[in-house]
Amino acid sequence: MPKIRMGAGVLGASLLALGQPSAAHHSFAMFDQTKMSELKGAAVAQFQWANPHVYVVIKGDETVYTLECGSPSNMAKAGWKFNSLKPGDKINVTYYPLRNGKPGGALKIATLPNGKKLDAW
Amino acid sequence: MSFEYLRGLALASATALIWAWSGVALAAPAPAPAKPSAAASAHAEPDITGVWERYPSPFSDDGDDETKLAPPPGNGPDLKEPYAGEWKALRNKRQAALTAGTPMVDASTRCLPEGTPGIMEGIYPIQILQTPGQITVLAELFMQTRRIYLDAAFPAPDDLAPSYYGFSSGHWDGEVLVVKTRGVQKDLQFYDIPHSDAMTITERYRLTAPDMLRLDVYVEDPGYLKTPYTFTWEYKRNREYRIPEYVCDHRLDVINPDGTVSMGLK
Repeated sequence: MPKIRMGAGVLGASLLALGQPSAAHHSFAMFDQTKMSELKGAAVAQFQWANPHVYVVIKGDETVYTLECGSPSNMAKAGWKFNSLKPGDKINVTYYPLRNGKPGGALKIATLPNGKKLDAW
Repeated sequence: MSFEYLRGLALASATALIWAWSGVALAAPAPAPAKPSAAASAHAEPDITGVWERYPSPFSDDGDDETKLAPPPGNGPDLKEPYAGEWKALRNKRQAALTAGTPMVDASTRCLPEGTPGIMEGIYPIQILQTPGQITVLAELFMQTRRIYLDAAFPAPDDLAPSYYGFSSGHWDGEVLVVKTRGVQKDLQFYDIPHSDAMTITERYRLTAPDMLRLDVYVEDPGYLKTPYTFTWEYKRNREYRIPEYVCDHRLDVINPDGTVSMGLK
């Protein structure tokens, strides 16, 4: 019954903007919620829309990043749709990086090709 | 299926789909009060059919520390020794793993059912359906199904095979739905709490307002618990939310040989 309780301090407040469980089935302790990383003009390789988590795979420079998002309901409430991202889209992202240093994390905000900014937590 | 439930569905389809997890108000005017129908008057029981979400939300609004292990509800179990010590040691181990950023695998990470009483915790919304002779609980999380048989005799101990949800028999005591459950398998451990085959869970459900439901849980297990473990969960009915499917085929988690969980990369 791992309840997902996100973040600390200022970052935590924004993480909880959606006011609902981000995920129930694993802990988010693997993400560093005290740091924020950024990628600009990354190409979307995959956008997976399903419980337990939506996730997006992007390629920035020569590295592939996997970014976990909230649940589909969570995301829909924040303005996302299942087709908000398509392979090839160039997006800017900010995310909480993995604590183990691997290329991935929890997506915080994506800026879509049309300039629209969407919260993923 | 009650009139109230059908009305809720009609309302949902007549308006833009609003994922009103936190009870966002609809722009549409409130529908007129339901007129009693023949079907409704035939069932004097309270109407608890519908989608329910925990209220207040079990998730803090002020940014809990994600590396802090969530405590069990109520005051926690009053376990006998050696179970108390063993339980505390396991919880400490989980806490240390969270602090290190390497959470330990648990049933939820493995996408196993929450069983009884965990399904009622409603981490994601749950749906209750009242049909003749049965109350069914459907959970978004893992698409779980729990069946509660009304006025049903318990199977003989020899016929009560241990299972995730056990066997649940319920009856209406006036306005209160009383459900007793036995036969929960021993390896299903709510918040890691060990239990015996003799554990009996008694739940009491009652509406405290038309769209507010209260559940009082009472767990007896004389071999393991010094005193019964009691706690309460409350829920708010959400007439707009439609529960989506939940299949674990797209999860990213990787369970490592050392029993920790990390995020798999694509």
